Amino acid sequence: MKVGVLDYGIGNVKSVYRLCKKFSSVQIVGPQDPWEDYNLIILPGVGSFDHAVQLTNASNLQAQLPLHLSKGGFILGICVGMQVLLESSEEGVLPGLALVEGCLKKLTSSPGYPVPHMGWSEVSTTDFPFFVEGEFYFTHSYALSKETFDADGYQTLKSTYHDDIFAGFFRDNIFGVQFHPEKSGTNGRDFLENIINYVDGSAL
Amino acid sequence: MKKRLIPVLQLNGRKLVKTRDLRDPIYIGDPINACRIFSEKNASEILLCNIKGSKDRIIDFEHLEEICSESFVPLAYIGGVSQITDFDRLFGMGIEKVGVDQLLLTKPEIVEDAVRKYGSSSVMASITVQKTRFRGNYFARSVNNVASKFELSDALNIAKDAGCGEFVIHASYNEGTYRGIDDVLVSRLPLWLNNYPVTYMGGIGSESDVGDVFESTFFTGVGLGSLCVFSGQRSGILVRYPNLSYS
Repeated sequence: MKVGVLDYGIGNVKSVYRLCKKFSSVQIVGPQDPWEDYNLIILPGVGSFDHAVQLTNASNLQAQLPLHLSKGGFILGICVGMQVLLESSEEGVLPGLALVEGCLKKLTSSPGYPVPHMGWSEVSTTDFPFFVEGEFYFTHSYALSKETFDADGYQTLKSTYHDDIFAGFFRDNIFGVQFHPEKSGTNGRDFLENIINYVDGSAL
Repeated sequence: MKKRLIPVLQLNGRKLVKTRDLRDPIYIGDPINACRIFSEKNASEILLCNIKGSKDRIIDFEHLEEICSESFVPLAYIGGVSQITDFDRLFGMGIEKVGVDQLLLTKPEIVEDAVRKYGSSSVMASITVQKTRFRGNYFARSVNNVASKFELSDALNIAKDAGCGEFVIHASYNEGTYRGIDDVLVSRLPLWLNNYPVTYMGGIGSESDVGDVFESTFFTGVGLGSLCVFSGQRSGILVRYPNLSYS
């Protein structure tokens, strides 16, 4: 079982790498590196949507990621690393990679709920595999739209920030989370370890 | 969502210190070790403040990376950020949020570039507030620890226009004094600030001060200096994280 943390020019690559190193064989990998040996590729995320999309396009990830999936590999996108897997975001004008249907809409602030949504929120699920409910760290202004949230075929994570928000999904070997497991203390560590164990158990 | 209780680690070179009104640093210990302790205690966030950074414009990236390696909770950094490559290096090593102070007042266009590249939620406006002695007016503080030409409201507007997604209001004149929250300062803040996550720091010296911040204001975070490094008022060094929870 090998994990690759993808360095495509954005994101807190080393934070994710440091956490994964605690319980898995992990390397920081570039878009042009061979990925055959990696069961799970993680796209970290700190950044704006358009900037991240520009980098994914420049790195040829629109071809690399589907190829990885077609060989039975898994992907985990974190924050903007998840967002770029979708079709579009109100934050930018560029199209996303569209590996997952759906778009991101700007959160609306209301009294007691400023935007960005920043801090630790409870995350729950009814169907997401192996997920242990608890508090995770969020920092974002855009979230998956309700339409995507209701779409068929997703196993989902939910949170609440005034309204229900979409905190994560799993479908067709793609995990995506809006929160930052690498910065969510013991809950985040358990979450990442469980994903890695799940992928390990699914590996052919 | 829970309010954020944020240990503020003041860096003086490679030493962890605690100042009073950003002066007279007292040596506390090793910031790497302190960061590890707060991370293990699942602190809401950790804020690293390079107290000489704004003046000297020197960031010790190598040391920061060592500190980052010990944190599995969110890390923010303030001090001496002056160019877009500073943002690149800080985010790359594992800082989640980069704070800008003097850069906002001198080159807001660089802050705008950083927001475009990294998103508003990653760029934090840190306004170090100076209170004038006689009239009690509030200004943003300059690098020389005196009031700049920017009134507080002007500085906040510059940050909003630059696209910053979070604000830190640092009542520096209260820092290390245990005076609690400055209610007058809070009353002078513009209403639009309620729409943003805002952290207050400076003078929070007791658990009841923390309660005052969250029960009487709109702040979503509080920066804790003395409360996290002293056992008494500027005496007895004890790195600790208060067992408090506010929603």
